[in-house]
Amino acid sequence: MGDGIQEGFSMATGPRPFHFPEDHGPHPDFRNEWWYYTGNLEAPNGRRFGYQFTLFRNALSPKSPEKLSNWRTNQIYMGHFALTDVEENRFFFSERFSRENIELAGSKTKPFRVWLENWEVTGDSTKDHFPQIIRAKTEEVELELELTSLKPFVLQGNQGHSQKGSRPGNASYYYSFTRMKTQGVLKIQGTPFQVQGHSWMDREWSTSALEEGQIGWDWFALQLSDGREVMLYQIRLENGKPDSTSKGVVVDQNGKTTPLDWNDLKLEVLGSWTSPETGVQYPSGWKLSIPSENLNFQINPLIENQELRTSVNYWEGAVEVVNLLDQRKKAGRGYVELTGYRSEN
Amino acid sequence: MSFKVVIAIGLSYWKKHPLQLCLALLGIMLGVGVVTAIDLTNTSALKSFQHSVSTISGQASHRLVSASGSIPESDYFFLRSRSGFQNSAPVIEGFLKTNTDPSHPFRVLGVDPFAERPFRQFLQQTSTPGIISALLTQPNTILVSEQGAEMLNVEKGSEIPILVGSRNVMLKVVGIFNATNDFSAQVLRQMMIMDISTAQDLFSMQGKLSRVDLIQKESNQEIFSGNEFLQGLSQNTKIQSVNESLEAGERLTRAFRVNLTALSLLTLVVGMFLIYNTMTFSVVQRFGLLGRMRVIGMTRKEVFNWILLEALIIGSLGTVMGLFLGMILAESLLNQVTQTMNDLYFVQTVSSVQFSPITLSKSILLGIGATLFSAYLPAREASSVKPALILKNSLTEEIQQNRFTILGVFGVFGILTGFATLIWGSDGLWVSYSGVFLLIIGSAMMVPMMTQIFSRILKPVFSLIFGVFGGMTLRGIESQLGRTGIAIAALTIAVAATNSLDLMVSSFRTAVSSWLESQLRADIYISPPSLLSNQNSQFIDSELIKKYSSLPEVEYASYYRRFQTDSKGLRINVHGVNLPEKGEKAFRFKEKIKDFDWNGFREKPMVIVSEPLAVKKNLIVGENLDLETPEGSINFKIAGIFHDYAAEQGFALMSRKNVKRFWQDDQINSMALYLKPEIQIQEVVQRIENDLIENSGNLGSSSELPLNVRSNTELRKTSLSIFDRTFAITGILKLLLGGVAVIGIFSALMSVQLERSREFAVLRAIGMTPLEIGKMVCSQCESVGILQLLWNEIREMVSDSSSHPLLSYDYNLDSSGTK
Repeated sequence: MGDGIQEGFSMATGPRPFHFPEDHGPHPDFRNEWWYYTGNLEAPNGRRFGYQFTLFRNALSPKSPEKLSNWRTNQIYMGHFALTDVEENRFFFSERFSRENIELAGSKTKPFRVWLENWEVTGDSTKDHFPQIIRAKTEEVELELELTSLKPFVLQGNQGHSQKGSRPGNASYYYSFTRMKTQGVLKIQGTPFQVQGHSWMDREWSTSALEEGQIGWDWFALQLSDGREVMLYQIRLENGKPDSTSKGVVVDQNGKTTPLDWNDLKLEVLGSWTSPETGVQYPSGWKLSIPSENLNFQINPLIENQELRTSVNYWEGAVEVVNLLDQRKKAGRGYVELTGYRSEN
Repeated sequence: MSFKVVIAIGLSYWKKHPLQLCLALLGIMLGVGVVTAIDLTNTSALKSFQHSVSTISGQASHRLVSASGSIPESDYFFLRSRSGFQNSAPVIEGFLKTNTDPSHPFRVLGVDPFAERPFRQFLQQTSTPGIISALLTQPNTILVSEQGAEMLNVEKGSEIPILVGSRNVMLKVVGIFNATNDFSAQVLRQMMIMDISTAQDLFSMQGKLSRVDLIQKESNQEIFSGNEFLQGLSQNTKIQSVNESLEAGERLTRAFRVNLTALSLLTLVVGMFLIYNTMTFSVVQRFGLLGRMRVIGMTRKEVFNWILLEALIIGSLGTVMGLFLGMILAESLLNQVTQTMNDLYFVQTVSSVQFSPITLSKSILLGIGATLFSAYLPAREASSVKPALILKNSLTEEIQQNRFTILGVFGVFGILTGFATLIWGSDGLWVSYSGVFLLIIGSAMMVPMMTQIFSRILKPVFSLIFGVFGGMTLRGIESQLGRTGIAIAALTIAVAATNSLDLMVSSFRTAVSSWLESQLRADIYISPPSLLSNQNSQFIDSELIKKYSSLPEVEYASYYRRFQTDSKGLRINVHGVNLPEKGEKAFRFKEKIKDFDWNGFREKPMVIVSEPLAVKKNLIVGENLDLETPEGSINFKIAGIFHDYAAEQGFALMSRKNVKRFWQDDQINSMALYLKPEIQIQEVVQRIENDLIENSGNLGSSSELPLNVRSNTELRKTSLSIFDRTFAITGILKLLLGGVAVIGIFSALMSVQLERSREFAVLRAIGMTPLEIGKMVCSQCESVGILQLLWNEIREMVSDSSSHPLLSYDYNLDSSGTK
């Protein structure tokens, strides 16, 4: 959904003040927008699960067309919903699309609701719109979670303005809720599990696109056991190197942020996994060190196959963070997204 | 005796009589040809109908439909958002005409590209990027198939002018898709794909869908079986399997196809007479030879087989020729048939002949079987020739004349059975046809006997008037009845069939025309354009109703509301209307209650029903008709049965007051304006049209459709031209049938004359001039014609009365907007 024309849309040309709760809702004059939820959950018996629930908004044209029919719109929504069942080594994913229509898909602020058929996230009308409820259901899996934020939101990049390329405006407005207490029920093929854990939410809107030479990105959202969170993304170039716009942030226990430059950290790929379905080879397992934060750990996928074979193939999965300095200590959990990898065949 | 010798002897005979051979071949060829052509046409039309349904339905196994023709889009939203039922796709189906070729409407499929993937692959079959974006955001954008683009001579980016009602709209081609196979290519050639938003705007279907396609899977089976699935959907929405809708379409066109098949079989029967005639003649001519063959040791069985073998060879040759003729004929007939199926039933099919091995083998069996059946009697006759019986056929004529008496008796039996079938048999189409067949064949069987009787009665009269030649003429006919009887029979069938067809069609046309005249009492009819197969779901905007009803020229405005409701579990069409006095007077009742008055009709719970509905549902005047209303079942008194040719399924008519009262429904499907005296109708039509165009201009490009505004003259003309198109095909069949009969007559008379060469020699020897002989022969031929005509008139008087209702029962004249 990221390709296409930019002309006529608003661009994220520089920092802007954020207004809440309005900014939780849609920004239809920007081309792309998403509400991106990931989380690691656990049943009372310790059985572990991961989930990803994302609703994307995409404008097909800058202006909304004249309408008579309810179906006439330039706004479309895409949803991705994935569930990782670690114990059974199973990964469920599904994708759906719909155009914006009061009954089919849409987003609004008061009260907060983003929906795509019977997938939705709702909240109240307060500034933080918490607690939020996520509901999603497919033929095989079902999710109903309540999310409460434990920290204030984090403005990413430069006061929420996150530069993604060299051209001005090739950037997004980006904020996150990095730690949300989560509890609820998930059902896999009819079997219900009471679960709880922590979620992460990314909110981003832009009219940006990958620039020439940029082929994809790797994104890490790690929730450490000591109460800190680390977010980092690297935009990969054709030559294998990270783009200079690749960045990160560390959020401390109180929500205070420390921006990271790519030079402040060292990310080493430890292995790879090749999808038997698509033949795409993804990195699998990383070693990450951030000396300034005294962080040195290994990131391992909970299961290897967490590839979403949707209209765009990508890997997005739950990971375990292992403290390399003291391996007895659980270092944390997180989610990793790997896009732009292609089959070599 | 060796096979080769038999063949050689046979060949030498047929070589000497090439004309006889040609006529026999021609007869079989035409008979088989017509049967093959009709069968091919029917199966092709049906097959392409099935293919178009399956191409259009794609992977759908079920559909959500409503009897009203459209379902509210909220049903789809419910499925998706509440039930989370993913295997569903909204569809709007309709038809559009291009300005360049309005006679071939395009099927339009309005779809939601995001829901389409599991169902149809049109979007995957385009290589154009950004296609979804164009379809969604740009109004009036379409996809066409490669074949469609070729036919329309368009490419990506081209614009196609189309007619929406009386308004021109430009459709922009934003993508071209490839068909996956030949069949779908044919279906898709006449198809446009567009986004559901464009379809809703073009067809004024805002808020509505034609249907929702569904896929039943193992994982969602229980949903389809239980009622749970339908809970939450609107009341009239029903789930239907795709097979059911296929069957419905097949049922709809069945009567039409049966008619054609019956006509083609009639042609074959006439062809059979021809074969019979040829074979009998060949046997009689070879009595001497046959006698000699028996003397030299040929057994009866061998003679019998010999004649049958000859028939088989001739039959096979004729059949093969007939097959080719059939294939050629089918090409031209198919266009007619598909056009009619379009006109009458809105079932769009593809015009290309599908050669099915079943049809071809059926025709082969029929052709050869008919030949052998017709040759059976001549073969038996040949095998009964006594050895050394060289003398000619005085004996056989005698036998034959006795046989004609027996045949005549059978004929009477046939006629009686035919009548009984028509009177007491069920209403089924084949039953009616069997009855008519028995009547025709029965009367044909009586022909030789009746000829005998007629010529005996007329002989003294002829002798008195024309002298000795007059007597001779009729005696000649009587003595040659073996030939002439059959000729007259063949001619009887052909003339009977063509005459009754003519009569049926023309009297039916007169009936329809005068019915139209009586029905179309109003001056102007306004209805939404018939772009959707079911018009019940199209309504006229209430503002426009008010505006046009209150025009100063208008004396009275009638409003029509059509809908369906249940009556003891069966669907029934109900029409609600308010009529002015002269509209009420125009009703032609077949039967009504004694104290019927229109006031009662308006005020009381009362209906009058059309004849087809009364016949189908066994409704009796004075009894009650239970109709489901939102408040439960209500009894409506059946106050009368009226004649109607417009709705094949029939309908119950009630006052609009009752529709409002019991259904709380105030919508209007069409309206009729009665103008004040002395007002120029065309001027008012023009004014309304101008006003509509102006209005639609204000609403932007994809605005409300204008309505069809038609004067009664125009409407009558359109209706009758549909009627004429429908019966054009029977005209073609009639010609072919007549052709076969003429060949039959020609061959029979020729055989008689050939046979009588010795008799003519004697007449010449006793002093008759060639001119006199010529006169006598001519007057004999004329007498055959007169006798045939006489018999035909009598026969027709009895059988016509029974064949008329057959057609009015079968054909449905959809004068859309009149009811």
